Amino acid sequence: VALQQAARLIARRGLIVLISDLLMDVPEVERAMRTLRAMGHDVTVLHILDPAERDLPAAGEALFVDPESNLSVPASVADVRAAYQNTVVEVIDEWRAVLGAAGVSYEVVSTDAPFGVPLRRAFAVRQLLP
Amino acid sequence: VSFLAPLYLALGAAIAVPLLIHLMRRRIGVRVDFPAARYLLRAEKEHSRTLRIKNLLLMFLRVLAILAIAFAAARPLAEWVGAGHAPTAVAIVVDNSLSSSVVVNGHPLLAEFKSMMRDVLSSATSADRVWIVTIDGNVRGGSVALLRDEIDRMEAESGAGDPSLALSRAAAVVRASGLAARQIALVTDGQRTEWQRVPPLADAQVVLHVPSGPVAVNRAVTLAEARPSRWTPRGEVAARLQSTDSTTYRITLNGRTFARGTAAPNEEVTVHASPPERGWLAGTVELEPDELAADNSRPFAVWIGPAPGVSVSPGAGPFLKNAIDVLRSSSRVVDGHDIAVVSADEVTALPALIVAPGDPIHLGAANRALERLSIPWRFGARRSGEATAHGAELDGVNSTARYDLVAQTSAVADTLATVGQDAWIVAGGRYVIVASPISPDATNLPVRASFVPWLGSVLTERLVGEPGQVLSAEPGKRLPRPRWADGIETVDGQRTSIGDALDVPQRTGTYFLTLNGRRVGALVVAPPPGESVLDRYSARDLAPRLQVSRILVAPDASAWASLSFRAAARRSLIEPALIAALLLLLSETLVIRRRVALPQTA
Repeated sequence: VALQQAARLIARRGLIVLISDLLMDVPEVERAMRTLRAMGHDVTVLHILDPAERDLPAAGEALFVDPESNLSVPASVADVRAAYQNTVVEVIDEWRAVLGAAGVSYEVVSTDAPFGVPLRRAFAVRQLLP
Repeated sequence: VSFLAPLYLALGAAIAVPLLIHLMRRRIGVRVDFPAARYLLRAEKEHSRTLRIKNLLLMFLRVLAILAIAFAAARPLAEWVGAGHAPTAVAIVVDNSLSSSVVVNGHPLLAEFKSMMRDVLSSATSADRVWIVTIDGNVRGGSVALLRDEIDRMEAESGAGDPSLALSRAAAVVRASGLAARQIALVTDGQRTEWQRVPPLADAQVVLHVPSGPVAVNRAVTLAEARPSRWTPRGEVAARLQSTDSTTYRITLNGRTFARGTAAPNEEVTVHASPPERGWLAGTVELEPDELAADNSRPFAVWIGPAPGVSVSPGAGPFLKNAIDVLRSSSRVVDGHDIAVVSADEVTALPALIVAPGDPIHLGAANRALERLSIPWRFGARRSGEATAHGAELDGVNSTARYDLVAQTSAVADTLATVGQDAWIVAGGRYVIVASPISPDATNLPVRASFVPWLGSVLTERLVGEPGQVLSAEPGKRLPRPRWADGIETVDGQRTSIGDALDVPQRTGTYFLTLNGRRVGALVVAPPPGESVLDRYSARDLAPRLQVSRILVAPDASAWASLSFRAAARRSLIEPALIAALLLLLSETLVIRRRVALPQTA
C-alpha cells in the first residue's frame, strides 16, 4: 500500500528507494515492484537486517514472538541456529532473485556495518543499468 | 559386572532431566520479541526432520552420559575378556566353629565347607598362593596337595573360635604375599552369636558365602556346674537346658549316672547329691543327641570329701565357736584338726582361718606365728573408725577396729574383702586371714546373717583339701598359669607340665590340674553357650558387619569357589565409564555446535 501510494505521488519517472526489513510476503512486494517498474520508476530495495535477525539472539530455550503478527515460535537457539541461518540465506537469495527478475536493484544492509558502503554499491549498480 | 557401591546406580534416575527437557521444551516460559519469527518458523518447518533427529541424538547422548557417570559412581568391577585369572593370594577362612558340625541333609555342614574349599584349590594355579585359616586363627599354607590334606584332617572346633583373629590373620598373610591380587574367601554359617563384633579391616577384600536354608532346631546343655565346687560331701549340680520342648537329661559323675530327669524348655535344674566318691571328679550333663551333637553334653568338675574336722581356739572368740557349732550341727563340719580356727597369736599349723588378736598386746606374737608358718602377711597399725567392707559376699558388713594387713615381698594372695582401699580379708594357699577380731567391738560380721554361710564357705570350699579350684574356659583360650598347679592331666590320663601360661585344650571336657603329681584342681573346657544358638545372619546381613574395603557375596557354593580367585583379578570399570561419559559429553558439544547438513542455497 505504501509503495502504491508512493507511485501515485510521483508523476514523472523517478527513483524510488525502499528501505525495509522485508518481513512481508514476497508475492505482494513483487507485485508492487513490478507495478513501479511498469510506471518507469527506478527502484532500489535496501533490505535492513539486524545481526540478531541474521544469527538468532542468544536466548537459550525461549518463545520467539513477532509483536506485529503475534506469531510465536518456541525454539532452542542452540538447536536451530544453524538451520535458521541457512533459512535467512535462502530468504535473501529469494529476494535477490525475485527483485532482480523485476528489474529492481537489491542490497542487504546490516545494522552493525557502516550504512554508506551498501548504499554506494546499490547506486553504483544503478549507474550501470540501461 | 558387580558393584562396590550399587546404591549409586540410583544416580541413573537423573536421566529424567534430559528426558524432561526434551519433552517439556515446547512449554517454555521465556518470551523474546523477535520480528523475524517467521524465519524461525520456516527454518523449523523446512528442517524439522533434521532438527528432530538432532534433538533425539542430543537426548540420547545426554542420557548415556548420565548413565555412564552413575555407572562409574557405583564402582563397577568386571573381568576383562580373557581366560584364567591373574596370580592371586587367597586366604580361605573357614568357620569350623562348633556350630559347623550341625548335620544338614544328612551331612555335617563342615563337610560342605570342605568340599567348597577343595573346589577353590582346584582353581588354583602354580602362580597363586593359598592359605587356609581356621576360625581359631590358625594359618596353614603350602602346596595345594598339603592344603588338601589339611582339609581332609580338619574337624569342627569345640568352641566359637575367634572370627576377628582369623580374618585379621588372613588379611595379614595375603598382604605379605607381595601379589597385587589379594583375596579372603570366607565361608561361614553366619551364626549371629559368633559375628557380633568384628574389627574393621581396611585393606581386605572378602568373598563371602553363607549357606541358605532352614536352621536346625537345637537342644543343648548351656550350663553344668557343681555348687559349691567342693562337696563335703553334699552338694548340687546345676544345669540349664536349651530346648523348645521338654527334654530328658542325664547327669554322670566319674562315669556313673547318678541322676535322670525331664526338664521344661530353658529350665535350670538343680540336683542334690551326696555321692560316695572322693577327690577331684569329672561329671557331665547330657541330652539325647540331635543334629548338633557337640553341645548335647557339657562337663563339670567337683571335689568331694568328708566334712572337715575343725578346731576352734579359745582366742578366736565365742562368736566363731558358736558359728562352728551351728555348722557342726548341720554336718557341714565335724570335730577334728583338719582346719584350725584361731587367733593369729595362737596359730601353729595350716590350714587355718586366722583372725586378728582381740588384744593389741598379742600383736607381736601374732606376727611371729605368721612368720613361723611362712605366711607372707603381717599385722600392722591398728585402725579405728567405722568403715564398710566390700567383697566375699560381705557387702554391708562394717568394721570399727582392724589392723593393716602388710604384704611381705613374697605375698601372693587373693584379697577376698576390702575396707576402703585396704585389704581386710586375704587368702593364700591354705590360710584365710581376717584383719579384725571376730567380736562386735571390732566388726558387725558375727551378728550378720551372712556370717555362718560365709564361715561355712571358707571352711568347706577354700580351706578343705588341696589348695586348688575349678577353672572354666573356652577351648583354645590361654589362661594365666594358676600358682597352685604345675601340670595338667588330659582326659585320657596323660600328664603334661604347665608353662608360663595355661593353654586351654581344644577338646571339650574336664582336665585335672596337678601339683607334684596330685590332683589339686580342675579345668573345665566347654563351648560358650551362645554357640548353641544357631540363628544365622544371611549373607546380605553379615556383609555390612564385616568392615572391609570390598566384599562380594557369593550366592552359591560354585560362585564362591569361582570368585575366590577371579574377584581379586577383576578390574575396575570406573575409568572406562568416566572416559565414555567424557566422550559422550564431547559428542554432545560437537552435535550442538555442528551445522546440520542442510541443502545449500545458490
